[in-house]
Amino acid sequence: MTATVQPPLPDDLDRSVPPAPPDGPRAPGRIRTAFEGPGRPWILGAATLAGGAAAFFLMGAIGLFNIPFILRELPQGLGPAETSLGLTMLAFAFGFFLAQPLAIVRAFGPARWSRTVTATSPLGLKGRAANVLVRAAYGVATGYVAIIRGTPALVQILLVYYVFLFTEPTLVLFGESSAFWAGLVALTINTTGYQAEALRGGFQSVDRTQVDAGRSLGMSTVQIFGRVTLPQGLRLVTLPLANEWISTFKTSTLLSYITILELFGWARSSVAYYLGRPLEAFVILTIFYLAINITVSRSITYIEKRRRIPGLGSLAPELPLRPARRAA
Amino acid sequence: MSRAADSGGTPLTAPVSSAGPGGPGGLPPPRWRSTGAALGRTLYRWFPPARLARICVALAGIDAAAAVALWLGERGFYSLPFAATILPQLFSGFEVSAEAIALVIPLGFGVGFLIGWGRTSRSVLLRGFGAMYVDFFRSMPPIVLIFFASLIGLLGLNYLTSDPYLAHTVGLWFGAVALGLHTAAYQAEIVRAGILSVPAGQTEATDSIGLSRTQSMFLVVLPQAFRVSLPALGNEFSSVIKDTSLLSLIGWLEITGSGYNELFPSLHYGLQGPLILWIEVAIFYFILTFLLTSAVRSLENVSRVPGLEAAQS
Amino acid sequence: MTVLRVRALNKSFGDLHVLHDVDLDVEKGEVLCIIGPSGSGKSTLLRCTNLLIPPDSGEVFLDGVRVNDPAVRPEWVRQQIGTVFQSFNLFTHLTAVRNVMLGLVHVKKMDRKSARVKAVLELERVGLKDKLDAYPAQLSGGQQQRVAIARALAMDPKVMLFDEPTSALDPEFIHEVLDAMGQLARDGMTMVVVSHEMGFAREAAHAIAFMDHGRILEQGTPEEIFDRPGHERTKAFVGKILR
Repeated sequence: MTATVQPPLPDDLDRSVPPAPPDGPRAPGRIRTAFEGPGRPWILGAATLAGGAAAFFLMGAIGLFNIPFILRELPQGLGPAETSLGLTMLAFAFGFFLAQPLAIVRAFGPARWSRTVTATSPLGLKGRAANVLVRAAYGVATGYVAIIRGTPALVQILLVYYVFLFTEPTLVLFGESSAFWAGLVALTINTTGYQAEALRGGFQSVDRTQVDAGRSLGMSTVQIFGRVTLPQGLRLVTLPLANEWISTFKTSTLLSYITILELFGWARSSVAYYLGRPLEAFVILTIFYLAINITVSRSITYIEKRRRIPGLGSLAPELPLRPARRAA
Repeated sequence: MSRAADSGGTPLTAPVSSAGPGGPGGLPPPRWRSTGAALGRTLYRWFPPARLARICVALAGIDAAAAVALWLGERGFYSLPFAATILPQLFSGFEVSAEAIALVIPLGFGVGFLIGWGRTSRSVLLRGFGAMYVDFFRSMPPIVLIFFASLIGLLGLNYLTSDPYLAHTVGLWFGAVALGLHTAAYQAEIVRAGILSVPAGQTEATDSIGLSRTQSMFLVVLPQAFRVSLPALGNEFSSVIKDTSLLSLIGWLEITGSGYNELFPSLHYGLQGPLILWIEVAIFYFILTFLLTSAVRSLENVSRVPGLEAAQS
Repeated sequence: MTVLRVRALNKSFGDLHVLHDVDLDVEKGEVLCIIGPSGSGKSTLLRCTNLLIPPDSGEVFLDGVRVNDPAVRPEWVRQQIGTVFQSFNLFTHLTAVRNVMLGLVHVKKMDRKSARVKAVLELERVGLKDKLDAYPAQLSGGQQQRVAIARALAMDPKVMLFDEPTSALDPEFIHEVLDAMGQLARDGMTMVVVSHEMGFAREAAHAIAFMDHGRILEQGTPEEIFDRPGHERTKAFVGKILR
């Protein structure tokens, strides 16, 4: 049989049909994702690294910036980088502990508390008094999180800095100045609010049926939290917390404006201004921040994927799982 | 738009909406009634009772806080006159902040949308570029981008023009553009996640009725992706508002910048001077982000579709 | 007149050879049921027919036009072949009537008003006149599948493909979808149905094809296939299904 009807004119744009991948008719839908799947982040990382290095030497070769100068100055940044990292890690660790009670109160606030806890009160509090207490705690926690998340970190840092400046201008603790402690306190206050929100998300998304199962075994509320909700919730928030760490690290750059000599402060004052090399300062900072932040995010993603328990998802925005298409 | 088709005389297009009771004997309901019902429905959609109650509580709380603050000021706990004198400065800074936001949010959304879309494309080149863009801009602290964009822009422009004022102004705007490109990386990830959240069956269905790729993207995938990613976008927009405070560090006289201008006079009052100053600045940002969050919530309520609930953060 | 003609169709996914030289003819007004065990290539055959999956080799003719040809736009082919999916695939963000209108307005380029009239007609035909403005999530599975049928029907297809249209439904909703399909068959629509509903196959189908391991082993009238199956494997399968 031959074609008797002339088909409509072809449309070049829409005709292309993608080659079928080996694992199915086509990748999910018509949309495929870049560099997903086991081991792929490393491929992307290597490619990015190679591309970045190539771009670096190319731009150096055409004289955009001075490569020998950068290589000479780079080691000078290690000290300030240590300050940045130290402040970030301390603030993040303190914040993690301070955020726990906030997150618990926010996640299991008045509504759930009154329903599940009045029967078996874990703190020895019963009835109306406990309810009022929990409600008050919920209000305080919610207000704290709202204020921290609703105002710029810069303003928070300046506020804390001036309080320290007026009350303890000559403080020296562990060899660090007042400004350092002001920065640490401000950063901790800031990251506590964000971590509380991340943790609350984790605790709340632990399936309710898990709690019911725990209760059916006769576990107490505290036991259920410690043995079921907390381990599952922490696993769920690994990636959000990693994001929050990176975010805190980036916020720590603002501490340079309250006289702390961290990475950005060093590059700005000594490389860009004093040595008069702004482009080179930017390149040095790029190297530092890309190296640290991409390493952290890739490693955590990798570890999280390796250690993931089947069936226990992650809260991180990532590729949604789709049912594999049946082959027949 | 489908409502208009209802008035066609075909028996098939019987009224389907629940808009008001049909008049007796098939007469249309009085016009004012349907208008009133429509208005009521709209109001109800924008402000459902639970939300209205929350708004009332929040307003009452703000009112009480303001009353307490005023009372403390009158009692001499802090210098009320100083708190009042910096207000006009902050309001003028607020206008400048609005300018910055008006540049950064559309720029970030436009670029972010294109990059996010590119990251879901079949072209390796587009995906690779998108991935590198996102990696770079998400790893760099915004202040570093802002500072060097404005500094290098300013130095570069000094070669091109002899007008230092022009170079300075352009340098300022370069900083805002850098902030826009920074938020674009985050928005690209949101857009990408939204597009990927649309199940494969939807594009299969568009294929089966013969829609083209572009039509399928704009008629089906993006409308669904938009609804799913609205809360995340709202979060990102409020981050942008907070990040505009960084522009003060390169010389913008927005809210934080006008705060800096008042810093020296404030030191006159001892500790309470800068304390009042920065708390007032923080309140400005708090109100701004609160308004934005409320607007996004309302938009979520209005564009809500059963079965397409936005992913909760 | 042969509406759909498939010749020597082959398709593999990697090492998996899903379709082996499949030949198929569907006459105008005919209802063809394809039965067979899971993984026998039934769905792949349907998807190759409307080019949702590009075939590796072989030919697909629609009304005498070879459609798996680089000169033919897949969109043009698909708008003449209606497809009903196992999982409905209704557009989540659109109401029932706008689901049906979408293809009319954007593929057939009808104006909105007449598209709506037609959409309402099609929905009425599947008995959903009172659900025009409901979103898919507000409909039961059976209702969703009937909207999907209306959506495919509205494009005035030459053939309708049904890919296990009742497999994802709760038992109490299956009959309403089968009723709609039976009505369609009586109206003279050309249909290719992949289904495990043997009752429907026996009553509504004009022809049955039995597929196994990517080949059509046997084809005949329902009586032939169900009562006097020729092939060993058909016998085994029919015996298991009808018990």
